[in-house]
Amino acid sequence: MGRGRLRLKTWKREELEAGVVALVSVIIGGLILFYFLVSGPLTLAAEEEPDYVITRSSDFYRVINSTKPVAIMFSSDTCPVCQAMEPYWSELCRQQGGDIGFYLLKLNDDTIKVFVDYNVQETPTFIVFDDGRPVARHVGAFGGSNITETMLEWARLSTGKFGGEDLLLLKKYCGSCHPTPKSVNRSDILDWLKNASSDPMVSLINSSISSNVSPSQAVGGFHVLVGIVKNMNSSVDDQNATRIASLLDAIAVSLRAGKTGESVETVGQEHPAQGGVAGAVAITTALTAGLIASFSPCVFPVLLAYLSLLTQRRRKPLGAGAAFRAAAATAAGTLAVGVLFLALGAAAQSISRILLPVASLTLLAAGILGYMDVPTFLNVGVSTKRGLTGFSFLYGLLAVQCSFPLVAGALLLVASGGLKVGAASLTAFTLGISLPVGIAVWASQREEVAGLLNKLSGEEARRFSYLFLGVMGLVLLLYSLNVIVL
Amino acid sequence: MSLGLHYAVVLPYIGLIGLILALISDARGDEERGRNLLRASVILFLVGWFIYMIPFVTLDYRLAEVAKNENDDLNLALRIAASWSGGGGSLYLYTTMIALTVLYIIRAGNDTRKYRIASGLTLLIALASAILNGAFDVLPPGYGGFGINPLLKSYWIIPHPLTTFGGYALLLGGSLIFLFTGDKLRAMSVFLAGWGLLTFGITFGAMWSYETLGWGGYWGWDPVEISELTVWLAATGFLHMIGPLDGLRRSLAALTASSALLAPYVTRSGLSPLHSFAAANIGSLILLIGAVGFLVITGREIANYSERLNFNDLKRRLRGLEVSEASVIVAGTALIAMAIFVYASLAIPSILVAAGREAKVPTMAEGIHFYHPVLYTLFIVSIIFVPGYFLSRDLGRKGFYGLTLTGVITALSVAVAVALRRIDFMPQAPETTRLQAAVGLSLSSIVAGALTTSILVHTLFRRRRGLNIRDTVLKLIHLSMLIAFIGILLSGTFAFNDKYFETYQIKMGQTTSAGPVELTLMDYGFEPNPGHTDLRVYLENTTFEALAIDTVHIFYTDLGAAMREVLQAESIVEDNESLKALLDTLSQGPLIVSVGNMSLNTSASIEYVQLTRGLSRIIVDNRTVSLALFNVTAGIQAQPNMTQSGGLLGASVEAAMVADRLVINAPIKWEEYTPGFHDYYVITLNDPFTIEFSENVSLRVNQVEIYVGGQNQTTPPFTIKGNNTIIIENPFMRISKGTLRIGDYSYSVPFNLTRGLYLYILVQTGNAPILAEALNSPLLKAVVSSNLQAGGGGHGGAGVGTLSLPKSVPSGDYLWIKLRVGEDGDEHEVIAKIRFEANGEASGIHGLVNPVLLVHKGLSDIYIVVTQPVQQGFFGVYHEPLLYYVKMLQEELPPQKALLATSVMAIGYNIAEIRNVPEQQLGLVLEQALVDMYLTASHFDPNNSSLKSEGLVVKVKVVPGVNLVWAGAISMGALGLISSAMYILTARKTHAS
Repeated sequence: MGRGRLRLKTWKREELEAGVVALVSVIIGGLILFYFLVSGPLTLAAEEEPDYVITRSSDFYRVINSTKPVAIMFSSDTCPVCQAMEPYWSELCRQQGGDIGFYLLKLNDDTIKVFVDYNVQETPTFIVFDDGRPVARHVGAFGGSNITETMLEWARLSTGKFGGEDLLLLKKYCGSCHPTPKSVNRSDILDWLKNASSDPMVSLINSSISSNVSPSQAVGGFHVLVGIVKNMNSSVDDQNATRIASLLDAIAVSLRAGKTGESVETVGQEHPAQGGVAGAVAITTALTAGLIASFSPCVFPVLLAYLSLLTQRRRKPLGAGAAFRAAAATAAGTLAVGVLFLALGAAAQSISRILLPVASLTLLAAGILGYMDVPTFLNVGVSTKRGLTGFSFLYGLLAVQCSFPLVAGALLLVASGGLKVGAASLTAFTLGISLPVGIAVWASQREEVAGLLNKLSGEEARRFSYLFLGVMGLVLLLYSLNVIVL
Repeated sequence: MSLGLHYAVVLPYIGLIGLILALISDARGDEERGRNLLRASVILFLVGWFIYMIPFVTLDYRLAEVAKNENDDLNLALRIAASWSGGGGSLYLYTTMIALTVLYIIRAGNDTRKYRIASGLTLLIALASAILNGAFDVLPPGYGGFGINPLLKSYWIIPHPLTTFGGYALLLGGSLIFLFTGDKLRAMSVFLAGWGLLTFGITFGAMWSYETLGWGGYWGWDPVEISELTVWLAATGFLHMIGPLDGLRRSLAALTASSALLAPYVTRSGLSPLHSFAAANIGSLILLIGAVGFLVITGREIANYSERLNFNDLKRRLRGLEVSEASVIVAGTALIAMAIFVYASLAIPSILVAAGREAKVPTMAEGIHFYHPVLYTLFIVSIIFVPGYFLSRDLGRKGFYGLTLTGVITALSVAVAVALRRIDFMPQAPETTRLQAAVGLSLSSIVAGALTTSILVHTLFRRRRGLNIRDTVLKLIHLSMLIAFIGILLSGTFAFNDKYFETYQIKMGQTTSAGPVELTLMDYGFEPNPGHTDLRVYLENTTFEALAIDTVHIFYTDLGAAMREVLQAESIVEDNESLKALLDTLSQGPLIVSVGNMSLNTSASIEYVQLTRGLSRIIVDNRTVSLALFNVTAGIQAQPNMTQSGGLLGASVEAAMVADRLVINAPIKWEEYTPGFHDYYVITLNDPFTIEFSENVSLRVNQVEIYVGGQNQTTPPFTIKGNNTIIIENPFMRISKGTLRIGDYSYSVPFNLTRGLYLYILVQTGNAPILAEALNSPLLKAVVSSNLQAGGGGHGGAGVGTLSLPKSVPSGDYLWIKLRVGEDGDEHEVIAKIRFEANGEASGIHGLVNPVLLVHKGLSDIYIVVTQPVQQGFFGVYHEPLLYYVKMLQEELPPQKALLATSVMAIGYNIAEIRNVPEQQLGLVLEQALVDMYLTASHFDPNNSSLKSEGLVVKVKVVPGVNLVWAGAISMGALGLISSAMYILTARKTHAS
């Protein structure tokens, strides 16, 4: 039995109040601070949106149907990764005039339709359109030493425009182990694919062409393909690995486009509301997205910190019912965000921008105060059923921050008549989010797991738990301020 | 100081005598009499104040303060305010308010001899300063009112001086009570009232400055602003000297008193570029002496405190400190440091300047670099410890540390995000400002959250324990201060800096998007001010006046002389038809005709003239000479004769010919008479030839001067062929004898013209536009055709005194512009008034006042500056309200007076240029300035403003969060007054019991 647990019984009313006063102070202070920092009067002084920012769906359709290929970043004001990527992308947007047009699409009441149409579940998502059809997609941040350059390379290669320079790159880094085409002529590439079909790299391209996906999709994502390239040759840096991966995708795109004229995109082509197979795809995607959201860098560390506290403060183990309640509360939190979005529209976004940093500030303060042995209701309430429910609800609320578009989109579908698929994908999404929470709560109460954690018990463990909570709060704060990008 | 007695000044003078007698009595130990005399004199000051206001209301210009600060433009409210806004009047108000605090203590019976002597001396200083600043000066009859400084003609003149000087006086009075009596409750009540008033005073001043273009937003580190801050900081420091710091209270009271004397000195000493409505004088120096006196007391009190200090005792106390005590010590120390820092920055230059040395208080952008790093840091430190004092009972030591640590970590995280530009926070502002704002905003938000929580907890949940109102008021004061501080962090740089302005041109009738607003220019019009001003009050016997009169004289003897000559020429021409025919012909421009080739074979004489040697010789004497000219052009024009310095003597009508080539065949050896530099030939023809210019204009040529030089440098100017032939390329041939025929009249050429006749031609041909314009003006014609007033003659040499300024001129005018302002779907119409005040232009500070339109949007303002439309003159550019005004002068005043008044405006308008012009050019510059302004105004048509053709230029910026500053500051001031009222009630209760 740790000292902290013993103290629980001896805390005086004044001491309990001290924690509450401090936490409420931080919450009120945080609301004031982040109101002024992100959505207050300063926004009036901010400059107007530049031309390349698309805020209307009609503009989006006009842009993608232009004569040259366009690359569009699907972005949202509530998403920290987007904030980090926007400056680099905007750099390309400002330099309009090359072979490819660059634009930035912002999520709002109107453009949400586009997000749903192209099945954009996470932001940022980058899609290249050629002749109005999506030909390539990249989800998440770009890396490399020169991010703008990486983005440009990706967009250029995605339109199937690659040249001798790219081939040189392939020869330089891969040529010693893999056969490479003689030139970038179509016939030379076809020869290469035919003659060297036993080579793993060539067979990847061949198989992806035959199964109508891109090589990166075939291996499970663009980042995976970049990783594979880097693993093959340690002298390839991030930048060039990205270029090579893009090139492999581009070769497949160019050949398939030449063969069938179809797009690489499969998911984005189909409207989730069309039902049938498409509906199933949408629901599966929603479930996956929910699972991803649950482990989202926005909040997952908090879940860990919370669970470590839960094992600390517990007087007697919470049963399986608790796990169920936790899951249900998380689902309710998720739904609440969606409903809030529908009810308030754009205003919800600014609330959402304040919500995450204030929550992180609260966690930071709770961690610091707990570490100093000042009890807060959050810590006390942790062990109770109400505390657990409250936490889970909050978790559901926060977990959606990075997957905001999907929830809102699904609700929009429900509202606009695609009831069955919309409701189903929303359910799938909430299930995806809430399941891990339920499981985690259940697992933390198992004797084996709890016992393991309780071995650390005592003053140190208590302090460690609070320190962890505080640090997670700080991480979350820095994340919501875009200082760290997870 | 002028002699004379006015009913309004009788009581304060009697009060002054009473005051001196009271001091003598107390000094001699007669306390009873001392008290009675002091009471009587402060009552006289108070009653005298109300009588003093009467001449201001009735516009009795015998009182100099009335004549200087008022004219009949002002309505009742502004007339009353004029009594406390002038140089002397404001100091009399200050005296009166100090007197009020003295009366409060005497009535309570808590006065001591020391107190009476100290406050008596203070009153003496204040009143003497008021008298020496001209509060009671009387003017001889016959003067009108000059009027208030244009920028001060605003309703802010009512509350700002009243609260500021009231605040100084009450803080000074409160400090005196605290230092020299035992009545701490009354001392606090007076002190807090002063603190509340001064907070209002600073706020109203800031609001006024914010709404005035060019005053640097609401805070520009102007010396007067700094002096207000000095008093406020010292007073606030005093209020924080509680608990463990109580021993320092007396020294802070003395410092407050010293700064409350220093501040009016700075206001009245001319240290400030914005507030220098009066120059430094002995009257303000008295205040500085008083300030130094109290500074000595401050030093003595600190010495006393450190003598009493027992270090062992102090150590013990520091060890056992509660969080709340420690917090007060830290915050209080930070406040003392701020107060001393600002006090020193102001006092040192003040004393140096008074001692005749050059020294400056850092102002505007310089002030930012000087004050911000120190004050910002100290202020942040004091903020951090606010929860330590107010919440330590709720939070405990650990809770306070936890909260503070959270705040600091948050501030650092936000600072990092802002520094790395990961969040979109004031992207346009300088880096330091952004970081300061980020850290300050984070900390003050958390502290504001803590105070709010504490207020909520104590009012909502702990009522059963009884609500401590004084505690709640204190918390609210601090919360208000944080709100104001957040507002300052958000808005400061935007309010101060002009670089955030965007400029837009708004065309008549069209809606233009100007940043966050849509503006439509609907209509405009010019209106005169209702009143008049007497410029003599300010200008009489000044160099400004002398310069204005000189300028009129220069005009009269220069351009005026030319005008008179032309007018004379006109009358000569009227009576002389032959001359009229000649001038009319020449007025159509030079006569030019192309003659083609000519050949002459005639008997002639040729004279060879060598100018350089002074030789002239007949080389051909009445022999046959043949001349061949190729491609001849002939011309006749009037050519001016100038003095070497460029003065015009007159002109002569000259005829000349040019040709591509001239071939002369004469029986001489040309080699012997080659045309060198400055040599020419004169050919006298025995048979003249005639050139026809038009049907009735012809020229008979008798004698020609042939100049060789050639314009074409590539071919030699002449060649000699054979024995007797010379070929001259591009010769210039002046007709030195000829006869010009115009119709039936004939004139020998060259023909001399007088200056007047030549100017007449120039005016006719449009080559003397200014002279022509001047002659077009009936008023100027009237001026130059008559003698300048008094003095007689008026030609040349007439100095100061021959002309005198008009007794009364229109006080000014305004251009109203109706604008429709659309913002976020909300539309409304506003009238912007661009004012022009003659007294401003006449005192060299300019009379133009640009309006600022504020569109409130939540906590922020959209700040719109309306700029003045302008017209181009011959030499300068003039704004239309000024032109409208000068036109008014021309219409309302006799011509000479109007010209002199315009001269005053022209000098005021060009004051910067005139100060820098070299002495020998000054006359020309002054004349140009006068004539240009006068003529441009006489052309100005208000119905054809450039608003119609060019549109209106506006400058727009957004000032985010500025309304938080006002809300916070006003709430602070009001809560200060509430606290004061609470002390008054307590004092009364204590007294009753």
